[in-house]
Amino acid sequence: MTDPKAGNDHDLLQRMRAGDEEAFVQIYRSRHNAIHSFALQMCGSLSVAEDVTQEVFLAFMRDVDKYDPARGSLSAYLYGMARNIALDFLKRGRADVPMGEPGMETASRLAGPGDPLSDLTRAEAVESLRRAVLALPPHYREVLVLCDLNEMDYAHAAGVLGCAVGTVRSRLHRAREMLLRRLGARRAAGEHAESLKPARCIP
Amino acid sequence: MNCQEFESLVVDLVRGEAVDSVLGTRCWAHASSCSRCAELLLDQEKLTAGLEALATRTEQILAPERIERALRKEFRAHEAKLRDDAVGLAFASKSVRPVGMASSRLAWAMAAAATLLVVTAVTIAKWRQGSTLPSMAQNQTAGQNEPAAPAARQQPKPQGAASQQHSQAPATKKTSPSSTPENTRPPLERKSNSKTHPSNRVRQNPDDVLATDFIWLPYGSGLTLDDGWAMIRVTMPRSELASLGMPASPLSSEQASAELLKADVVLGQDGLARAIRFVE
Repeated sequence: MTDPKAGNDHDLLQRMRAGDEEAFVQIYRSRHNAIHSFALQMCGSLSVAEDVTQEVFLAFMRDVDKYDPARGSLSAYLYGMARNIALDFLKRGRADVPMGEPGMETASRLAGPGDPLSDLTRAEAVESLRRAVLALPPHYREVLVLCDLNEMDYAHAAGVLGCAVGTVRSRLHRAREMLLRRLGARRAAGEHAESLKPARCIP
Repeated sequence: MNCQEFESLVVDLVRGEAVDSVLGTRCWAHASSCSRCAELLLDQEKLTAGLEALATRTEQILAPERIERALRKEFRAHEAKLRDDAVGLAFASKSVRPVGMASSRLAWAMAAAATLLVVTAVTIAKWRQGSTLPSMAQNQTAGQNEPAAPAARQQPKPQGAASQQHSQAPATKKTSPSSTPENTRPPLERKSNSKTHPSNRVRQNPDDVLATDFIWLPYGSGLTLDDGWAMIRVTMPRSELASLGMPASPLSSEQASAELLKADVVLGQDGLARAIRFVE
């Protein structure tokens, strides 16, 4: 997958290496939301996502010469850094703070237009799905986040993760199976609860 | 297509990736004929829709502005540090010359300096050696070419022995003809001034003809004269040569005892004789 921003990135990188702050800021603005979303989807915590985003661009700023355009796009490079930093946070246990954060609550309310009851239902389903995603093992989660939540194709995700396309494909299949099983069990449990009706009323 | 093949392709089918039109048509045909696979396809499509909704929800949460501010601040600090490092490197590169002609010139200069240092050290060592025990040649030259100090000329010679101190110190003790260096230990006030060149003492009696150079005495050669020294003139019988560790006299013992030799003895600060020379 070719990066449409690659040509512009080259100029921005040259200017950034020369000390142009605005060039760095342009690179940051063009990618920080994607990195932030990825970190949020991986870690489930707003504060961790902010830390990951900041650390990614700090590391990029300090070692901009480590980026080699011949080895991949700048987006893939930044995603790779975000993935490594997020995994570090996960290992240290600084993640999975899913509820109670103001941004998340706002996002739940912004889940979709239409009937409020339908929106609430949808928001709850989305929240269940989010929890199921966060419960996946990290190497399945990262593939699902990249391919399904960030719409990367297999090749691009393989470039970010540094593995073969076949590995990405098989992990994605496995991750989706696990999600379906988890959500299906929950759905089955709900249906089972609904089916339990009292035989008679006890005053 | 069977169910197993369908299950392996269903995710690609839903994502629209890695499935060509022919394979896609076969998948759709299988799903229409297999209720289980149709349900699986439906679940995958629901999951995809749910993930899209989750992605949309997440994308609405933006990174705060403070990150950009912090990064801008850090960028300025980083650039300032890089500039400082560049200045430091430039200074260092001026201080250290690259390998080439300049470095070869530097090597030659260092070699010349080292040579000069060695020559200076050897000269100083020789001068110090000469100042401790003057060579006969130096003494002869000094005695012949320079006038003797008047005070030394006026100094009366004791019978058979002339006690010579350095020019500033008067003779205070006469030595007997049979005295050995140990017996002629001078008092402490004879302590010589190490700054006085020993050749000055030779000038005191220009009539003396030096016969030999100084000879280290066996028991005193390991001691130093750094703390000061004195030189006295003694007369001694030839037979005493053996007691000083020198070759025995070919004369008979009576003749050797009767023949007196005039000698200059160098004494250390401790009064021990260090060296001797014979004077005709």
